[in-house]
Formats: sequence, structure tokens, C-alpha cells
Amino acid sequence: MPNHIVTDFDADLGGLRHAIAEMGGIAEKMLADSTTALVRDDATLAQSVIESDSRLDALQRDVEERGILIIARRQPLAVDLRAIVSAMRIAGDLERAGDLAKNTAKRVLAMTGHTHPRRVVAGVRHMSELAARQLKDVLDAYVADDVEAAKVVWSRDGEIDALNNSLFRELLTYMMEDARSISFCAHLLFCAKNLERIGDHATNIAETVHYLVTGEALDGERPKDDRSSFAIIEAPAGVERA
Amino acid sequence: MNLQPLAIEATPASGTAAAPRIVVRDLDFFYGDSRALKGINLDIGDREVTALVGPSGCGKSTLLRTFNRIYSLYPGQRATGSVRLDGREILGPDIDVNELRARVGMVFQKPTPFPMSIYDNVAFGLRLDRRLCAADIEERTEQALRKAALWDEVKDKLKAPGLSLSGGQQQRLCIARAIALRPQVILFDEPTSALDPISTARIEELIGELRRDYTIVIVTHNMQQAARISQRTAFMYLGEVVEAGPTSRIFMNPTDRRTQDYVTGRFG
Amino acid sequence: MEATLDTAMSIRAAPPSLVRRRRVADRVMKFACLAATALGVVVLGWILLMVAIEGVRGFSTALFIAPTPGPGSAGGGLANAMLGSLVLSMLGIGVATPVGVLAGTYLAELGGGSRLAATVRFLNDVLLSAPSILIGVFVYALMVRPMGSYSGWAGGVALAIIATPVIVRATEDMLRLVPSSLREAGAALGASQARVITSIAWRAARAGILTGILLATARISGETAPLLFTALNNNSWFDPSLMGGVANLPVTIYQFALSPYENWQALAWAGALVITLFILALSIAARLLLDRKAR
Repeated sequence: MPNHIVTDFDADLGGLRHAIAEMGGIAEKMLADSTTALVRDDATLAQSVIESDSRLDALQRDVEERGILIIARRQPLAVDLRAIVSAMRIAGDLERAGDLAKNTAKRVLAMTGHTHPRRVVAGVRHMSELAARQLKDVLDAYVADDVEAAKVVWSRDGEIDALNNSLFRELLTYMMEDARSISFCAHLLFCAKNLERIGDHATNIAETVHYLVTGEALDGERPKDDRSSFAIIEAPAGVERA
Repeated sequence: MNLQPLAIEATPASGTAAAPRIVVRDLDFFYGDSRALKGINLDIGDREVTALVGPSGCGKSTLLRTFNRIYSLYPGQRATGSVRLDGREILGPDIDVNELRARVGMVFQKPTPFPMSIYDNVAFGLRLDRRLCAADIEERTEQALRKAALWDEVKDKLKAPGLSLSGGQQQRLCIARAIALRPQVILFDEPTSALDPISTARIEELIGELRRDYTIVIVTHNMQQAARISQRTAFMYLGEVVEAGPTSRIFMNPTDRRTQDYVTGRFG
Repeated sequence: MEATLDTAMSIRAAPPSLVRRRRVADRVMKFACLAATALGVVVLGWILLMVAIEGVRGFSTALFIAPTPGPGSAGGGLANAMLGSLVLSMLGIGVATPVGVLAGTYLAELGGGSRLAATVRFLNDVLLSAPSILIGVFVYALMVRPMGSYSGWAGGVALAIIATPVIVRATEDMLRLVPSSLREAGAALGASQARVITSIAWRAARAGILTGILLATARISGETAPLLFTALNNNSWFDPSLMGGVANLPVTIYQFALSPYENWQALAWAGALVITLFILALSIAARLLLDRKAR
């Protein structure tokens, strides 16, 4: 696409992209660090994750302000208007993803010192890796205006959901077996949920990228496989109901 | 020479989309030997605003001026092809051009009030029709001024010269002058490019109201204006219609790359 | 900052000799312009002053009522000459106006760039600057000789031939000034070309065309040479049929100024003043008309 006749317009749009790129970097890091903090029980790392969130919030406000200014000044149309609206939406999704990572980090602080079954944490780490890959891939798709890559991300949402389902059941089982692990597992449930929602935000971003490039919404039902809201585990015989 | 008056065909039954008012097919236009329009195919819909946009020299004004054959005033200019108004070919030599122009009104870029009073300006076109008596003329003049949202401002000074009005008022006077004849189609050639923003807004509002009764074609340089007031838009470049369609599509998600480049200010 | 300031100062400070030369050249130029203007104004003023002073001396009510006195007789006025001039001018303008306006309209609206229009325009320009004596001789051969006598008709025709090119020029120029958008606006309402010309173009150019007519009138009021061959003069009230000589101011002034009679000379000056005032009034009227239109 040729450049705008008014070069400042290109500079404005470039500034938006830059801000989104920075936000993406921070969000990815927060996600990775919060998981690492959880696995290693690292309170310091968790604290740094919590502190990075303010930068992310500031960037999101910045993106919105820039976007509004560009709309007022340049009266953008077609692909330019979609670019601005998309940037504002993606900024919102990234900011929420950061919040979710921060939430996980807070819970790490709450969980410090507790014992944690290796296996379950491994499950959470796996989920985190999936979510991180979704995030990275969708941000790459945004930068490259790559609709196909965005569609791939969009279709993979089911994986994280499936993992969340099985993790949910597992955690319930643990809690029923060992009452001492309940508080820890409860936190883990939330951490898993946070990861699942980060995955959803990545899928949102994929839909936005599709709209940005093609001008049309991504058709069809988003692969929604999160059945954790419907999961019920029957207590095995012999365990007393509380 | 037997000059046939234009016959207006009955309006089609409502419910389905009305047939296009003006149908252009394979229109070529020449200024002397140079071809300014190349094979234009376009439909102008009934009672909606169609905008013609494009960079300078793309031929949008030229196309507009074929709809009322105003180019016939100049010997070196000619058009070939077909332009049908309500099914009747208007490029033919047997058309009464003056009658055509009473049915297809035109408002120009620079307001051009005649050197007469406000009343006489609006009545000018009406007086050409000898069938109208003075009372009719008076009534239609008032109607036209009301419709052009000018009546309240001038009703106490109808004898004042047309040139004593402000720019925006003069343009509304020209609009009143055109609609006094109750045309079927009104052509606007960049009607607000010489006006301040508030007058522009008033005229855009006026066009929005007029389109309920008239078919309107507007040439404009201002893309946001075209996006605001038109229902259909045709993007022209170098004498051709590159893309035509619903305004929302042309300005939000055009099919042709050239349209997108022009609309987003990337043209070059 | 210091460096740039110094450079700026050094650029501004041109060598003093250059500055002086420029100032001198400036002053010389101004002086030359003023001197030339003064010369023109002084000469014009002198003429007007002389005409005014000498002319006023001959002013009296008799001037406007009594006819020209015979040679040697005392008193008298210029009434017949003034009336004659008026009649001849009216005749001239009466013929020149429709011909001139229509011809000018043709050139501006209808002829366009055609060969015929170009030729007409050229001939018009030639006629505009033709020596008026030639026109006098032409009308003499055309009308006076065949008719067998001088006449007011011949005089009127001669004046018309002088006035027409002025009006044609003025009409064409004024009509060209009317923007084509105005004509298009008229045509866009369904008006025929004739209607556009009469109701819009003429109306818009009205002030300018009238000015042209006024200036043409002023021009012919003072023409002497053509009248010498056509209307000549008459020492008393002329015949209403306008056959035979018709008294008029310019020729009367010519006759009286060269005569030995005192009262005739006084009347000549008075006549000159009357013509001057008349032309002055017409010019002012033309200027006022244009001004009002410009506003």
C-alpha cells in the first residue's frame, strides 16, 4: 500500500502499531513470568509481574488517546479507520490479559509456602505455554497483517479450553482426596481460569485482525469447548459430604 | 424539426427497488479531439443521493454536465453513447434541450444569483413557462424558498437584490431557483466548496431533505461530505468509473485498490 | 547566536555608496513622475481655467434663449446652436445605440471565434480610430450630394458612424465580463439563448453598456469636422424637417472664434464652456453609474 500523501498520518498510525507492539511484549512477559513464579514459588518474580501491570494500563490509555486524536484529525476511512478501531480493541484485550497475569501473580503470593502436587502445576504450565503461543502467534499475525495466521490462532482456542476442562476435573479430584490442598487447588483453579481467558483474548485479537485486513467479521461460531461450567464430579463412595 | 417533449414514464410499483432514474451506457465525451470520458456505465437511483468522487480531472463534472446537456452550449464539446432519463434518450438531436433542463436542475459551485431581486431570481424559471399565471408563480416561489430553508430569512425583503445575500444564502437561493421548477433530478456541482462550514452544514441538511422528493447527483471533492450525504457513490479516475456501489461499502471496504488509495489519501 | 546576529548585521549593512545611489535614483524617479504629472495637470488646468474665465464672461440668460446674432448685430445667444447640437446628438445616438448594442452582443455572445466575428471586430477597431473628417466626407458623398443640400439627417448619420464603434466596443467588453457561469445558470433553468442574453447578460452588463453610450454621446457632442460636411451650420432656427444647415455648437464656435466681432468671440468662448460643462456632466454621470454597479 502506498504511503499517505500526508506523512504525519503514516507516523500517527505507526505510533499506534508501536504502542501495541510494546503492550504485546509486556503482556507476553507478564504471562511467562507469572507462570514461572507459580512453578518456582518465586514471590519476587510475582511482585515484579504485579508492578508491570501499571505500565500496561498506561499504554492502553495512550493507545486510546492516540486513536481518538487520529480520528478527530484525519477523519480516516476504510482500512485506516479499521486500523485505528482494531488497535483500540487489541489494546483493550492486551490490557485485560495483563490483568489476568497479574491476578495469577497475586495468587502466587497468596500460595507461597504451600505444598503443591507437581503434576497439577505441570498441567498449568502446559496451559500457560499454549496461551503464550496463542498470544505470540496472534501478535505476529497483527504485525504482518496475516489473516491466515490469525485464523489458525482462532481455531486453536479449543485446545486451551480442553486443557482447562481436564485440569478442572483433576483439581476437583485433588481437593476431594486431600482437604489440606483445598486452598492451594482453589487458587490454581483461578489461575487455570485466568489462562483460559487469556486464550480467549488472543482469539479476540485474531477476530480483530481478520476484520482489520478483510473488513468483515470472522464468520462462524468460535470453537467454544470450555465445559468447566458444566463439570460435576461425583464424590467416590466413602467420603463424607462436608 | 419536431421537438418531442420528454415523456415521463409511470413510476414503478413500490415495494421493490425503483428502476434507476438515469441510465448511462457506453458514454464517451470529447472536448474537441480529446476524450474526457471513456465508456461510462452507471445507474442513478431514484430518490437517493449519488455522489461522484475522484481526483481533479477525472471527469466527474463532465459526466454531471451530460445529464442536463449543458455542454451543448459549447460547440467543441460532444457526447456519444446513451444517457436515458426515465427511459428516454437525452443525447439525441430531437430533444428539446430547454425542456430537459427544466426537468433536470443544476446548482453550481459558485453561487450565481441573477442581477435581479430575490423574488425575480426564483421566479425567473417559472416565468419561462407561459402557462403559469402570476398567482401560481407567487405561490411556487414561496414554496421553493420554504423548501430551500430560505423563506424566513428573506420573506421581508423579496425585492432586495439577490446579490445582497451572504454566500450561503445565495447558494440556497440558487437551490430555490432550481427547485421552483419542480425538476425530477437535481445536479449539484461541488455546491459547498465555496462556502464556510456552517453554510455547508445547512446545505447538506437541505440536500438530505430534498432527496425524499428528488433524485440527486452530487459532485464533490470532499470525501467526508460524500460519505455523509450520499447513499451511492461512484469513484472516477481518468475518465472512467472505477467502482460504484453503496456509499458505506465504497468508504469502508472498497473493492478496487485505487478506490481505497484515493479514499484514504494515499493517492499518488 | 552571536555569529548569526553578526552575519545578519553584515548583510543588512550595504556599502554606503550603494545606499546613496539607490536613494538618489529613487528621488530622481519620483521627481520625474511628479514633473510629468504636473505638466499634464497644469496644461489641462490652464485650458479649463481659460475656458471658464472667458466663457463665464459671455454667460447670460440671453445665451440660452436668443439665437445666434448676425454679423455686426449686438447681443444674441447660442440657443439655436445648442438645440441643434442636442438634436444632432440625439439622432446620432439614437441610431448608434441599437446598432452598436446589437453588434456588440453578436460579437460577445453569438459570433464567438468565427472568422466573421474577427473581421467585424477588426473593422470596428479601425472605425474607432478613423479620422472624423473622413467620415464627414463619406457622408457628404453619400447623402449631402444626392439630396442636394446640407441636412441634419446627414449630420446625425455622420455622428452615428462615429458613435457606433464606441458602443460596440463597450457592449462587447462589458458582456465579456459577465461570467459564463451566469449564462449557464440561466440555461440550466431551461431558458433559450435569446432569453439568457436579454434577461441575464444584458441585465448584468447594463451599467457598463449605459456608460459606453454616455461616453459615446460625450464624444460626438464635440465633433466638428464631420458636421462641417454634413449639417454645416445655420444662423437662425433651423427647419424642423432638418433639411438645410442645422445650427450646432462646434461649427458655431469655429465660425465665431475666427471672426473680428467682439460679441461673436465672447459667444464662442461661452459656447466652448457650455460644451465642456456638458461633457463633464456626462462623464461624471458615467462614473457614478459604474461606481454604483461596482458596489
